[in-house]
Parts: sequence; structure tokens; C-alpha cells
Amino acid sequence: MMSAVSDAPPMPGYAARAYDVTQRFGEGDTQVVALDSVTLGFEWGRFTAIMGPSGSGKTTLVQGMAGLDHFTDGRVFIGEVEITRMPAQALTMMRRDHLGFIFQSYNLVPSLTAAKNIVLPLKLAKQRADPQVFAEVTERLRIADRLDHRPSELSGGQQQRVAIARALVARPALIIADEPTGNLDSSATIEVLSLLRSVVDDDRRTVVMVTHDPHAAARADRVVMLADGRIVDDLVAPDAATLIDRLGEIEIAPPQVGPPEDGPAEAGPGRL
Amino acid sequence: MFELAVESLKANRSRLIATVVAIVIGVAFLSAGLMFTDAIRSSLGADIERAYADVAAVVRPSNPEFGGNVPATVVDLVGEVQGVDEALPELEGTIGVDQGDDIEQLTGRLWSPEGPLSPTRIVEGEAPTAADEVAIDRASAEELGLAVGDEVSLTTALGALDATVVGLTEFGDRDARDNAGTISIPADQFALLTGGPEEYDRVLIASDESPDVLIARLDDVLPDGLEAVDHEAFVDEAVGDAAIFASFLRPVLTGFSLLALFVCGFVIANTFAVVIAQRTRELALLRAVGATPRQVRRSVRLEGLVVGLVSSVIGIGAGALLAIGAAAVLRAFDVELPGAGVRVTVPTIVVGLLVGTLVTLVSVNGAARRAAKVPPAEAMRDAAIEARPRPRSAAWLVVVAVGIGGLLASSFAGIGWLMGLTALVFVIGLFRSTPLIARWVAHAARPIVGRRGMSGRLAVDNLERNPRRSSATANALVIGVLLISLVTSAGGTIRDELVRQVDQLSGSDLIVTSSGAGLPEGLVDQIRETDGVSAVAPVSAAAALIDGEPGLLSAADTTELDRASGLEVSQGSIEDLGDDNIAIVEIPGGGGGNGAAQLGESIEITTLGGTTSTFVVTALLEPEIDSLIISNLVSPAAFEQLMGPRPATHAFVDAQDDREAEVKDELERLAEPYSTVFVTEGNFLGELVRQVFDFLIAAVNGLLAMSILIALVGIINTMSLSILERRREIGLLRAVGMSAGEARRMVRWESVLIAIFGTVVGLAGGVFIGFCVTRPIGGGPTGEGTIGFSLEWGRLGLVVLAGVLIGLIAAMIPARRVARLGIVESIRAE
Repeated sequence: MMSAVSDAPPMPGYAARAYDVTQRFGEGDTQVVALDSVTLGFEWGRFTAIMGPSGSGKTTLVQGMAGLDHFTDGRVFIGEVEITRMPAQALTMMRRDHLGFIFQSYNLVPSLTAAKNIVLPLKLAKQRADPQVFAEVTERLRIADRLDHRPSELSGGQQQRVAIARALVARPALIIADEPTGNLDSSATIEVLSLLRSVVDDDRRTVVMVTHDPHAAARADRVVMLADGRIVDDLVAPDAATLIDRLGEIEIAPPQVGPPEDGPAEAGPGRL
Repeated sequence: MFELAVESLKANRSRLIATVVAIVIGVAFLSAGLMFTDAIRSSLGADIERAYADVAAVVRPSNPEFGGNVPATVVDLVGEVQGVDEALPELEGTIGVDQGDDIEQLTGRLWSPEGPLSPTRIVEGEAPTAADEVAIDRASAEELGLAVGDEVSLTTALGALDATVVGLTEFGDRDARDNAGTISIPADQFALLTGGPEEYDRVLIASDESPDVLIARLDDVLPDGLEAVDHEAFVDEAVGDAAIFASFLRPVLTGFSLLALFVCGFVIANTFAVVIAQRTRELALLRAVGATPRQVRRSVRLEGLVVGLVSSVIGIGAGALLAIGAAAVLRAFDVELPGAGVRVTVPTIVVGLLVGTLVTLVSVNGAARRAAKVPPAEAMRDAAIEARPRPRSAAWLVVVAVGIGGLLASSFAGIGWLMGLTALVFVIGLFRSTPLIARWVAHAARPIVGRRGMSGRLAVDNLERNPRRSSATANALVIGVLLISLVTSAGGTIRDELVRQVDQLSGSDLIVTSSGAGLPEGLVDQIRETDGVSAVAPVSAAAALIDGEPGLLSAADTTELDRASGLEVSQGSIEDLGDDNIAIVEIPGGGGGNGAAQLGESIEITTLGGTTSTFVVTALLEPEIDSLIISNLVSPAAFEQLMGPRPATHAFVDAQDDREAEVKDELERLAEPYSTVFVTEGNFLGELVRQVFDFLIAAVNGLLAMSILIALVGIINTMSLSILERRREIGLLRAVGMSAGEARRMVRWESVLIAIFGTVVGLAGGVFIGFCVTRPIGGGPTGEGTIGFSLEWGRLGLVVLAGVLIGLIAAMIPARRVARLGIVESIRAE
């Protein structure tokens, strides 16, 4: 297994891959292992959900795979490019060309209007927004009439739609969303999920979504379950009921699993 | 990116106030100094240009800075030079108008009818012609309450004169030619200004000839010691002389402004460090949506650039107001300065903008670099983790130790340049190790302050929580206090040493001096007859070239000199100076005079009239005050042969023991009618040195106080920012029962601790450097010095007290703010 990891063969089928990544926080007695030798890939053109209880390492995993943070150990690829030890400057260029990131707390720049927030990544990349793409995205997200408002003047659902527009407007191949519905009411949640679904189905983009909501995860093509920093399950298009059952099992009795590589045989198509 | 920087500036407006205030103060002072001195210069330039507009050339002594006069014969001589249309002698002097209880000093000038060379004209009455007639400028006449036909009592070089005002004058489109006011006397009454001989300051020449040709022709006929200069050169020279005050003031003011701006740097760096720390999440977000580290760095720099530019612009405006204000204040104290007070030139604006902006840019650099290092994942952390920078100053303590050791060693070895270098090392080390010292202070203060209850203990905690910020705040104060205590202690020591050395020189009891051509004839006799005077030695002195160098040639009766002055002969004898003998002042190291001549060697003396004679050195004089006044001594007979008959220019007076003060009063009464005669004590030099030094120390400290002011702004700033930052925490404390008063007290404690910390560190550093730097001066190379290090404990104690006061003042605004914080909102606030 280790040899396969160090070889890191090119794998054209994946938008992002992590090999044997480990994340530790703190030192000595207070050290916490947030991720423990996880190996995982996200296939092109699919909607993958990552689930797990609080503290299972979901956010840590996607942040590292999106190049927002560095893992303590292991290697990360976006497309065919390894970003493990990429300098900050180049990594940023890489991210803004190929990646869109959606946060749970929207994370809009409070001093900028919605429109300016949306085009911010393009501005940072010194590119102009394609007016057609911009119009289409804002139309689809139903925020075309809120563009001149500042984030404080928008509802939570509207803010998250602005944040999604920001992730989409540069037309990245991979969109990673960290609990995008965490702060939304149910109707806004349904709306956001449909949007992400249509991004995959209509635009052929890859979406990875962290969530703790089984109903949300049920909209995905594939669900990866994490517990205590390890992958404990990898399901293809499960329904909400299955997910609720699995989550219940995990939370009641954390399964005694070995490293994911030697884990359950039911590894989904995405497992490496 | 620019848009983002501007937006973020708008959002952080209130936090940047201190930065703006600091830069505005610094730039305002810088540009005010430049504008003020520019105004003086340009106004003097305009005055002089106006006065000499039609002057083609000027004949004057070759070494104008040394003095000397143009003999009357030269006026006729140059008048006959081909191409010279007119040659007008010019003479300035002082004439006092006796107001009963006070004598108003005016500039006296020879009257000549209005013409190209003489722009002064009569506007009322007529020109003065008789010996007791004068004309006075209209403004002065008004001020003194004089009108045409009034009688006035004047003091002149010849003594008191009762005269009649026959006319009022104007100069160009102004009232008076001179700032002090102009009083015109008939041209043949030159003696009222010179005290006797017909000599002039210069001769003005009108001509249509080309300057080069004219100068060459004039130089052909002029005797040695005189030369002709063209219009332009003369005006430049005159402006330089007149504006010497401005020329001196300018670099001093500029230097202190730059120092203040340096202190500003600390305030700016601190503000931006806090603002960046507070915006960590926002910066991380930018990084997460695609901003590169370089873009983040650039955006913070851009913010600095905008703040710097805007503040500098405000600062230049404030500088103009300051310059106007300063001129108004000076006028209120009756110090009339030429010029309207402000002159805004393009270079002033450029310098102000450039310096202010550069200082800001450099100061935000650290914050910008830190901002670029914020990892993007920081955007998703729920609460910003408070960064606790570990002070890395332990290594800098070693630098401090090296500085201290080096400074002491080079001080005892007396190596000047090494002292400067090690002092610099010491100061840099001190600045960098203040975070660690701040921790020690917190530890040391805890048991004392902690006894004062919760608020004291929390204040100490805060001080320690971010020692880097506490120390950066204190550092702004350290600089100012360090320099003030350095100047006070080192300046005081140097002053005492100089006074001691000067006081060791022997001098006569009193010296009566004439600033004109000589002491009035009868005055010397009056002094001789004064009760309590035991000996008088009148001395005639005149400018001459001694071996080609400008110098002073004196003559006196050597017997009288011996009795009345402190003159001492080290080699040879002055008992019978022959007609071709000369005594010169010995230079330490051998020989005497300008060329370090030995006994028996000959010296050439050239008068300003051009006559040259050779003298043999027969005596070397000890370098004492009186011998320095005499310079080169020849017999009265030889002097008269060279210079013609001349009155005494000064007189050494020996008073009977214990009657010096009484004699001085009496001599001053005798001298009063003469505008040109002054009585000074023989040891006046020591007193003068003391006064000059005290003034300089006070002036420098006054200017340094400005940097303290900026440090004060810095403390207010840090306190306010740290309260904003700790809003939640303070709200929590209030929620669990801390009273508003206790919260206020906590802020006050922290502020005072920072202030005392900065003051004491600065004080200790300054006094230490002062001690080391002045030690070799006091001890001398052989260590024979008797002087101690001048430590004025009272004054230094005042500095510490001022530090505490600064802390309390700085806490006023933040303390009020902290007490007003709503408990519920504070806890809710993110």
C-alpha cells in the first residue's frame, strides 16, 4: 500500500486525490489527530458528500484537499498536479483557476457589494468576468436584483447564494462546499442543494460537499463517511434512511476499524 | 486591489485615527519649519533685492565676514573709474532714541537724495542737512510718537545728541528699509555712526558697463584688502548674512521633525499590526477566494500608501497653519520676523508628501508581511485564535550587553567613533529587547499593583499578554525620553566642563568695548577718574592681514596693560616693544599667530589700505581671554604709523577688590549715552557659555517634547485598540460583576505601567549614554579633569513624573470608552 502511495500514479479519472494524508494539531499531551492516514479521490463529474459526526475530520480533509491548508503528512493532487509542497503563490494561482470553495458561514467580504463579492476571485486573478456567465449565474441563483446590496442587507439564504455564485463565476472544474447548508432554513437548504445538483448534472462539474445532514447527503452520487479521522464507509447513492442508520451506528459505537486501506470491503468506486 | 484597500480603510477608519494624527503632527512640523524659513529667506531676499536693485557692483573689504571698512579715499578713487556713473558710500550703524525709561535702537544710515542707488525718499518735511537734524521712517515715527519738528535725544557713537526730526521717510513701497526702523543723518555726520574716522561699510556703484569689465577695472584701482563684486554676488551674500538665522534654524527644525516622524513609525507599525490581527479572518477569506500572498501584502501596503498620502496632505496644510501661528505668537512676544510667516513652495510640498508617505510605507511593512502569512484556512476557524508572539528578544539582550560593555570600554579608552558605534548598538538592542523587559516589568509590577485588587492584576496580565505590542508602544516613548535625558545629562556635563575651563582663563575685571570705530575721547578719561577703578588700559585695534590671513592688530601701553589686564607673556618680553616688534598669542603645541611663528621670526602686516610692513616676533602671549581679544600687539607708535591716528576701541579696566559690581554700574551709567559702547565683565565668557548651553539644552528638549507628544498619541491608540479587541472579554468581566470604575482603573493601570516602563528605560539608557560619552571630556586624555558627571536629579525626577502623567492622560479617552461599553452587546460582538 505504501509503495503504491509513493508512486502516486497519474489517475485521469479524479478531480482531486489525497494519498495517506494525516493531520495533527498541537503538540505533546494536547496533540489531536484530526485525520489519520486517509486516502481518497473525487471522480470528475460526480457529486460527492462527506459525512461524519462533529470532530470526525470532514472540514480538515476538504480544506487540505482544496489547498487551503497543509496536511502534516501525505500527498495531495488537484487534477494531475501535485500541490503537496507547492509554494503559496503558485498554489493560490492553482486554486483560483481550478477550484471554487463555498463556506458554511458564507464568508463574504462585508465591505463589498454582492456583485463585487462575486467577481472578487476574478479581480484577484486580474481577469474580467464574462458578462454572459455572470448574468447566467446570478439569474440562476436568483440574486440578480440583490447585486448592489452589501452582505449585511441580505438574508442567510441570499448570502449563501452569493457565495455560491462567487464559486461558480470563474467556471472552476471542482467545487468544494463545507457545510453550505449549515446555517440555512429548510427551504433555503433545498434550494442550495438543487443548485449544487444542477451544477453537476447540467454543467458537468465536480462537487464535493461536507455535511452532517443525511437528507442533504442523500442528494449526492456518493457518500464518504468519516469518524475519528478515518474513512469508515463509502456508499454509492444511498438514501437518507440508510445514511441515518449508518450515522447512528457510528455515533453510538465508533467502529473498530483499521486504517482505511484495510477497512471494510465495501469500498466505493471512489476509494483508491 | 485598490478598491479593496480603500474599502477596508473606510471600514477601519476609527482605528486609523491615531496613525493619521501621528503623521499629521510629524509632517506638519516638518513643512512648517520649511515654510517658515523659506518665508524668512524669500522676504529678506526681496528686501535686499529691492534695496540694491540698481547697484551694478559693490566695493567692500575682501573678507566681509571678518569686518573692516572702506576708507573715504576709496570712494573718490572708484568714482573716477571709467564707466562708473555714480559711487555712493554706504554706512550702517546703531542710533538709539531715548524714550526716558528705555532706549529704542534704530538702524542709522547716511542720508543721500533719492536716486537709483538710494531708494529712500522724504515723504514729509525735508532732508536732514545740519549736524543736529535727522529724518526718521514714518512707521517708527508713529510708533515712537514723533512728528516733524519734534526734539529727540539720541545715543550715538559720539554720545548723547539732541536733534530735531526734520523729515519722515519711506522706502520703496514700504515704510522702512530696516526691520528695526531707519534713522537718517546727514552724510557728513558719519562720525555719529563710526565714532570718528570717515570710513564706510561699502561703496555702491551704478554703471551701464558689463559686470565683468566693470569688476576688472575696479579691482585694478582697489588697494589690497578691498575688492569689487557684481550685483548678483553681493545680493546672494547679503541675503545669506541676513538670513543666517533661517539658515541655522532650517536644518535644526528639519532634523527634529524627522526624529518625530521616526517616532511616528512606531505608532503606525503598532496600529497596523493590531488592525491586521483583527482582520485575520477577512484576510484569510481573501486568500481562500484566490488572493495570492503577494496580493495581500500589496493591499496592506496600498492601505499604508493611501493613509500616508492623505495624512501628509493634511499635515502640509496643518504645517501652513502652524507656521502662520508660530509667526503670530512670535509677533505677540514682539519678535518681528521678516516675511508673512508662510511661503509654500513646491519643494516643501514634495518633501512633506514624500517623507510622510515613505515613513508610513516603511512602518506598515512588518504588518503587510505578517498579513501575507495568514493561512487561508484561518477563514473557517470560528474564533480568531489570539496569537501570542513569543518575544524573541533574549538574543537582543546580548546585543544590549555588548553595547554596554563596548560603550564603557570605548569611553574609558576615549575612542570617539567606537563610542558612537557602540551607543548605536546599545540603543538598537534596547529597542529590540523591550518585549522581554516588558515581561519583567509585568512580573515586577504584579505583587505591587496586584495588591490594588482585580483591576491592577488584570492590567498586568494585559501588559504581559502581548509584550510585543506593549513594548512597541513604550518604544515610542523610549526614544523621546532617551534623547531628552541624553541631552540633559551630556549637555549639562559639557557645559560645566566648558565653563570651568573658561573660568580658569585669566581676564581683567571689566572690559569697555565699542562696536563702532572707537571709544569716545572723553570716555576713557571719565573711566580713569571713576571711584574704585585702579587701572585702565585703552587698546586700539584694527583689522589687518597678518601674514596674508585676516586678523586683528592691537596697540596699547604695555605698562597699563600689565596692570589692568590679565595678559601674561609666556616667552620673550613686551616691556619695550620697538617700532618693528610684535607680540602674538601662543598656540598650544608651539609657535604663535596664524602661521605658528616662533620667537625671532618675522611677520608681514598688511593694512586694508594696502600698506605692508614687517615685524619681528619678540614675545608670545599665553592664550587667555584678554590676549585673545588683543591677538597681535604692537607699540602705539608703530600702530599709528600703519593705521593713522585711531581712538581706542576697547579698554581693560581693573577695579579695586570687592568694588567690581559698583564700578560696573558706574561705567554702565557713563556708557549709556553712547549707542556703540558696552560694558562687560572680564569673565563674561563663562557666563555666556553657560547661558548659551542652558538655552540650547532647553531648546533641544522643547523640540524633543514633540516626539513625546506623538508617543502619547501612540499610547492612547494602543489602549483604545486593545480595548476594542478585548471587548468581549471586558463585557464578560463586567457581566460577572466588574464595576465600570474598576474597568476604568484597569485601563489606567495598564497605560501608566506602559508609560513608566517607557520613561524609565529611556531615562536609564539616555543617562548611561550621556555618562559614557562625556566621561572622556571631563577626564581629559590624561584623566586630570575634576568635573563630575552632571546629573540633575530634580530634572530627571520630573521626567519620570511626566511619564506617569502621560500614562494617566493617555488613559483618559480609552478609560471612558471602556466604562461605556454595553455589557450585552460586548458579549454578543464577534
